[in-house]
Amino acid sequence: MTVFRYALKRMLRSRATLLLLALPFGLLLLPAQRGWEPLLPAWHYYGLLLLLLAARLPALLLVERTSGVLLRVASSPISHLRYLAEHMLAYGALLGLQIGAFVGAGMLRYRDPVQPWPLLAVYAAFALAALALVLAWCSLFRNRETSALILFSLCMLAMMLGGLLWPVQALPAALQRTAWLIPTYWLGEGYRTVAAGDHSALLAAIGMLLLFAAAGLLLGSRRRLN
Amino acid sequence: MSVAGMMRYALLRMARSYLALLLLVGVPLVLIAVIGTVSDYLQIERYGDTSLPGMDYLAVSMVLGFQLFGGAYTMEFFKSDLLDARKWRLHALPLRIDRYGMALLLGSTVFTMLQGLAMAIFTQLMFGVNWGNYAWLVVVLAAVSFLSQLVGLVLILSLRSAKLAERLSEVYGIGSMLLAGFALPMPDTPLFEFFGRYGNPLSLGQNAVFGMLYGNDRLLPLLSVGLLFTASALLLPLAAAAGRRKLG
Repeated sequence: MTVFRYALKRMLRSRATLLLLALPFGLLLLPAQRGWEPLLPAWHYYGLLLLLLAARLPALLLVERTSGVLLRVASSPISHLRYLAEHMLAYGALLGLQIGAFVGAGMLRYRDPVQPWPLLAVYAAFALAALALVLAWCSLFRNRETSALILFSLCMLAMMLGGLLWPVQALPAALQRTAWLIPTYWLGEGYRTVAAGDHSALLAAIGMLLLFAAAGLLLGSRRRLN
Repeated sequence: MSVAGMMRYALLRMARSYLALLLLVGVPLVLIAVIGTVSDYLQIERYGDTSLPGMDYLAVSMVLGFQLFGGAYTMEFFKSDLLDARKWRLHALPLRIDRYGMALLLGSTVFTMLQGLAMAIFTQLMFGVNWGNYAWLVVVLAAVSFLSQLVGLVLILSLRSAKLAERLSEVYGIGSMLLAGFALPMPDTPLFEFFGRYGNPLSLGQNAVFGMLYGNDRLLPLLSVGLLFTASALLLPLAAAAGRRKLG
């Protein structure tokens, strides 16, 4: 677990990463009023932030690829699988800790009757899917800035078309029918099932998110040396 | 070369930076178009005491909001021409660097305004958004755009790391959108209420456009634009001092 240890150390030394990890707790300032969202606003918008947080690690890996670090890793006696898996594990651990801490803090702040475990599962599955999909996205680019800027715009679109900024029912019928192709739709679906306490539908939403994660990993984990 | 001549080349270069155009014109238009599909749901939006069509509120806020990111042009051009390796070539030319900086600043302001204006005309033709008087809109766009360029300029000239300056300019843009209550609902306290109404450039721009269209008196829009220009006037000496230190 050498790579894991050093990846973790590097991330904890980066002020930007620490800032990103602290950022979501600002959401706890939001009032406990309900709007159209199935859950409290803080729960709802935390998922949107997760999408942006998950984009951090693939961006770092992109820089390692373009700056030639990956080439040196390839010539050292370590497999690409281990390099990638231990990096993902390190960042995943940080994200997992953050999700746990956020849900815990939110439960204390709002005294929300919602069950914490399903919520944790939805966040974890969505974070994994987002991480994997961004990994696949970043494998297409050579410039970190370009990739990040276009990705940010795509994230906004995904939130809109996936029904996170307004109910899916507000979209035109044609877009409603294709919304299931967008991962953010399944985050919204997860929220709805958590709010309704419908466990079988919750499993379906989590399963879909894990499928997206698998697809992203398949596309994004290929080693590219350029 | 005159400032206008240098501005011409800056504008030509900006017109050719396709990625920036895609992000600052293409993206907001796509977002407005997507939001347009749910405009039935967003039928009426409240702005202060007045209510207006959701589409109008969103298009105006989006176009003004993207003006805040126009500072990226100033930062990018100052960085590539006056801070990185190319600065030696520019210093070797028979031109005054302060004038060249001025040309870049004005060129970026004008180009960002033109983008905003193009989007305004497009949304009026496509979605029937009511923008009011276009002459007033140009004044508002100039105020928001110039302030955003100056914020970017002060950041890139006063910080050692260009990367940090870029991140902070994004904080300025996204932070203003958040404070204006455009992305998330903000806490319902007097402090946030004040910042959401007068304390950020996006809200001031909204006050200026909506106040002229729907308000009863002209004081609020005029005051808002006045505040934007005052903020720019306060930043100008800062930018000049930072520039003298870093570029002189």
